[in-house]
Order: sequence, then C-alpha cells, then structure tokens
Amino acid sequence: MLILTRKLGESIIIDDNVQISVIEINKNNIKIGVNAPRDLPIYREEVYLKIKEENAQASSSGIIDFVDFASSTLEV
Amino acid sequence: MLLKTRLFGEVSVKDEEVIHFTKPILGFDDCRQYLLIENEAIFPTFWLQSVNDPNLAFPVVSPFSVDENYSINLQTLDLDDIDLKSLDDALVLTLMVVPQTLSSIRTNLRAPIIYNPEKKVAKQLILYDEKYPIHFYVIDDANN
Repeated sequence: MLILTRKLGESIIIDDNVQISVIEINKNNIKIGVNAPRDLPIYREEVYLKIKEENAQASSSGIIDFVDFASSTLEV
Repeated sequence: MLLKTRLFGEVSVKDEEVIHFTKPILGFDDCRQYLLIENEAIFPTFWLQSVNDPNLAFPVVSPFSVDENYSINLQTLDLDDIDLKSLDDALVLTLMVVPQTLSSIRTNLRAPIIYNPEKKVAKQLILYDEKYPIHFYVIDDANN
C-alpha cells in the first residue's frame, strides 16, 4: 500500500481527475473530501461490503411454495 | 437461444428482451445481461435471471409495494447512463433475500435497481442516505 502523509487542507491527486483532501481532523475521525467525476462510484467501505454480501445472499434465494408461504404468513 | 436455468428450467432468450446493466449488480461484474421473469404462480413473482450465468437469478420486488413511504430522489446525472430523462419513466426494483426462514425475507432498499424498460438498460445504484435500510423485512414487523 502506498502511504502518504498529509496535513489538514492538503490533498492527493489520482490519475488527473480524482482529488482527495483532508478537510477536518478530530480525535477519532477525519473528514475527507473527494472531488471526482460524477459517474465514478464512491462508497464507504463497510456499506460497499454489506451491499455486496446482501447481493450474494439474494442470489442464493429459492422459490417458495405458495402453500408454505400462506401458512407462514398466517402465523405472524 | 435457450438457457438452462437453475430455477426456471429452459428459458428462451429473445435478444429484444435482454436487459443490459451499465453498472453491475455489485459483486457480479461479469454478469451484465438479465431477463426480467414474471411468474404469478410462484413466490417471489419477479426475478432477474442472468443470461451470462444460467445458475444466477435474483428475486426482485417493487420497493413501493413493500414500503409505502419509499421514495428516492435522483439527480439527472444518475439517470444519464441509462438514457433516462426522468425517474418517472423508470422501473425501480430492489433485490430480495429469500432464505429458508420465511420471516427473514427481506429486501435491500439502499441499493435499488433502476431500469429503463424502453431502452432495456439498468443499473444498481447505491444510495448515500443511511435512512434506507439494507435489510427491510417484508413479511413481519421486524422493522419496527
């Protein structure tokens, strides 16, 4: 991993069109600003991973028999 | 072309019915082409069946039908790559997880599929707003 030290207000540039800036530094969190083309998706890592996992779960869904489904709906 | 699917047996693929994803369903980058299958005799009724991988299918639902308060606000830039002028012309679907435990049936309101039925293009969009649950339970009151 490339590791760069930046001060408050400083940035790094990636590939001409992405700028990542340090906006604010607090004790336990850092506010980061990203300037990038609008069609470049940017995600918080944990959200990205959670959605990926949920998509994988969706893909292992099965078809439910209507009889099972009706009786279970009645129970709740 | 005939597709031997895991869930629906042999499905015939007509080119004009194939939906192309401009942005993939996250984690399934190699599967960009799907059919929207509707079968009222089964639950869930709607499925996105991959054309690239016959074993891959996702149950989908209209988020508006499971959550009456669901609404999304998209900027025109979000709609550009699927050739849409307005969200009104889109079909919005969310992926469902249907496990063996029926009370755990849920849908992901954070990452809707935005589909342009006229042009047959779609994409999965991840909403930034955390008010949209990734696990929205469909059957019981587990959400409250």
